[in-house]
Amino acid sequence: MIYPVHTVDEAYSACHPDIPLQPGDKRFVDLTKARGIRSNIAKKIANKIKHAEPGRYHHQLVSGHRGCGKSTELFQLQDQLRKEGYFVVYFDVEDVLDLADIRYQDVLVAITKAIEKELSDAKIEIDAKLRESLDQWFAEKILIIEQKIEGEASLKTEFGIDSKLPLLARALAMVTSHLKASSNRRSEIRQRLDNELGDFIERLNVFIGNARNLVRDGNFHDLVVIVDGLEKMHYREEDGTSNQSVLFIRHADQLKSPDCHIIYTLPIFLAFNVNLGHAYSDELVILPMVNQNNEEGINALHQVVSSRVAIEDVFENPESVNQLIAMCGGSVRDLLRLVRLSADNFPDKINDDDVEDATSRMAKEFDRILRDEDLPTLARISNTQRLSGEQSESRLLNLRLVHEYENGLRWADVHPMVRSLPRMREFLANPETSK
Amino acid sequence: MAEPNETERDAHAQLFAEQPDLARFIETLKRVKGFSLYFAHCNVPTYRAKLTEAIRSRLTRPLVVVDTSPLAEMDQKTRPSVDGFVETKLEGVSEDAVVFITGLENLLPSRDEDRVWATTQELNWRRGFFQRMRRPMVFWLPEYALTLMARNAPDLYDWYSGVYDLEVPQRMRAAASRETLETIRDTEDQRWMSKDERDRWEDVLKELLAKAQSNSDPNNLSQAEAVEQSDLLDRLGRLYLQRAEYQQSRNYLTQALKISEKAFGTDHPDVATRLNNLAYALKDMGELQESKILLERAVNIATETFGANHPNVAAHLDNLASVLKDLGELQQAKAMSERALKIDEQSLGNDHPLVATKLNNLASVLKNLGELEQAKILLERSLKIDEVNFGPNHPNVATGLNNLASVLNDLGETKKAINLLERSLEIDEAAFGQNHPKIANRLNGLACVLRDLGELQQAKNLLERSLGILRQFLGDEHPNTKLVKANLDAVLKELGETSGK
Repeated sequence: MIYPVHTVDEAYSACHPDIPLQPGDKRFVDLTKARGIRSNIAKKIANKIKHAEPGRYHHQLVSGHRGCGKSTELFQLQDQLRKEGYFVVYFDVEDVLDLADIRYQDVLVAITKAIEKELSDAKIEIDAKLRESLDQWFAEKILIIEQKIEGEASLKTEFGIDSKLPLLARALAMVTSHLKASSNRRSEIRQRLDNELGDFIERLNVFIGNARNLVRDGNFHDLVVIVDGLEKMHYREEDGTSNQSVLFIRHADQLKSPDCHIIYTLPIFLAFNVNLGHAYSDELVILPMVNQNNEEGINALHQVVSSRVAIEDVFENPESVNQLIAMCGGSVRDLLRLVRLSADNFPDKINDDDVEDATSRMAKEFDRILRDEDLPTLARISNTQRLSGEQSESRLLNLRLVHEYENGLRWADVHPMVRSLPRMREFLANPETSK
Repeated sequence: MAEPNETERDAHAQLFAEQPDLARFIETLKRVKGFSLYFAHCNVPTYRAKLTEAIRSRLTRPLVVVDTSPLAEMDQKTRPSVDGFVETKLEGVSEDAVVFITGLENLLPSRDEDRVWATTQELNWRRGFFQRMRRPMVFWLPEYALTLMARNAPDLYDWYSGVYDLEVPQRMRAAASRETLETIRDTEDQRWMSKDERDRWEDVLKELLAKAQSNSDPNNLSQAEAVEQSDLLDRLGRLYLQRAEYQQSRNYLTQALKISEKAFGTDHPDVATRLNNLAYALKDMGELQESKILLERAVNIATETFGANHPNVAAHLDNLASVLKDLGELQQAKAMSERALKIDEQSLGNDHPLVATKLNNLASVLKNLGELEQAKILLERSLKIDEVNFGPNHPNVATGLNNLASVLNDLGETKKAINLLERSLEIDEAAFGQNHPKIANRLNGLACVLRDLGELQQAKNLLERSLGILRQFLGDEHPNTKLVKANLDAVLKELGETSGK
């Protein structure tokens, strides 16, 4: 498709809210300034990796609202790193693990697996002896079956299924498949990995060391691992601590243990945890929403639309794009979704009624999420324009009833869609009686 | 794609007329390329099937419906994932197909919160799968399940490109819920088991309970065991209540409540149901204060769980109102009853059968307050709703006629009242036969009006028939039996006869 498109029909396809743009896509708009941050995130992170002291690895946490363009930025980062000569291993945990229940052991195994796969895809051969010894280690220490008598036999049959895979790859496939399935086997394997943790990390780092040598031989600067998808971790409490903070804070050392540059995505609410700074010395990057209240933000969001659709051809009244921008709360996804909803009747041209209709349909969905008990916290945020770090805010951020912005300082506001709801308006006008 | 024939076309035309979202939904499905996520909400499967056929007939691309209900029958721990299940169903299906996913609600609402959590999280985490299928995916869910998804699976939900409201239209809603109500009536029929049948049923329940208890550790019941046992205890409690064996009933219902509280915590919706049932028994026993306290708890739990404006809350409020009425706290009863009515009107529509029930109960409070004209208006509205929903010869209509007659009688419109009572009796006789406790109630009501008119002989005949039925079904000691016996004695006295027994 050639962008910008000229018909409503094509506009529907051109404005997909869920598919992040690949590097080089003509629709990409650099939103750095519109987000109120100084430097391009992809360039900034790539730069930090480039300037990391030898022997020190950069551990980058990236956070941001869902739909803010995080995945697109991570693709940009990949592209940037590749351009600068790095061997990039990118994977989404969603594809590898059962992320309804995830522990640090799972993440480390998934990293090992992703590196192994990326190397073999690139036809880079790991040292045969190392490969064999790692394979054996997983087989004997981790995959071993409880009943020791038939241990050997069971292991062989287990491997039989995936026998086409090379050594190590098959062991890792076995381990991840057990970690993915919710079974007794999973906790058993996690327990073993935990018992053997020192040994595991030792072997993992020998493996990574070998990999780094090999990629350097292949004329890459170094190896960088990007672990995407962990920010989707759903909040859950175990013994008074959230599973998110158990993974990212209590097990920070484990997450930082691989000897290579590594980037993790982080759940947005954890970004405000005071202990995070102690656990990770490298500065956290938060991708704020585009500020739809200032001219820079409005222009950038306008460009997000105009890079996809020829506004004059698709909208009866080009002004109505500004109305969509005003209601999207700076979320690229919401903006694109609003264009889609406006196009939903497939008129010849999108008119003011279509826009009005799209806005009210989306507001209805925000109304679905909003609970009456959210109103006081929302009113406070609306008044102070900032977050206090209270627990009640986590739900609001997670469900995007509240967006975070930046302009030198971080600030927050209620999503304009939420603000437009009668329940919210009444409460803001009269917090005492509308309870 | 085959052209729809004439009748199908007509049926579809009607669907389009009543569903403003349908045309744009189809337009969107025609044009969308590759993956996009949509939600459609509709909670009546038969209606959804009609919509699906209408959509299929308008599309030039294939449409595949994947029904995930079989997953609900499987063990949550070992069942295939939803996406794995969908994937196997899509093997060999054209790349161009639109995919409808139905039946997910069967995995969502459950006493087992872990199951709800596991399902929504699974969908949330594994959303990438749906994208990789490279086809438009439409999740069909009832409204409440969609809200559950929106709140618990925000990552998946936030991908939506459109949410389409395809609910059954208001005017058809009541008709669609008829099925449900009839099944409710079926279980209610238990109440009308003959004494022998009831004794046999009691044995069955007790044996099941004994088995369940012997297979479990009473101090350490699993949730599944707790559900089973509290359910059996609850049934036994209600059985004893029908027999008016109050102490036994109370014991069983209290045990059911305790087990439920221990297994699910004191603020679980299951506990609210147990509280409600125990309160019901206590009300019949005349322990109104205690009943009131329990119902207040039930209202709070339901409010916490479902939100203040949910029909479940309305149901508890309505029961609470009837206890307050018995306590003589009429103004408060009126307020509660009005709130219950408003909730159901807003969430179910003005013509829903549950609204008819609420109108009826509010009218009974108003009657006690002496606001007879107002009560009459509400009862007429209630009756009309039931007539539209169930047809003029349904037992629900008979109940409505009976209640309206009682207000008319208070208003002095005796002739009219008798007409209505006779019609009500006719309907119930056709539905339940001549020999049924309901008939006994109708006969008693009619007799009371006739007695006021001085038609003592006729009243006597009716009361004798009524008493015969009640003795057979409820025994001599049941309050209803005693009441009718007292009525008969009074009539006999006026006639100058003396009671036989």
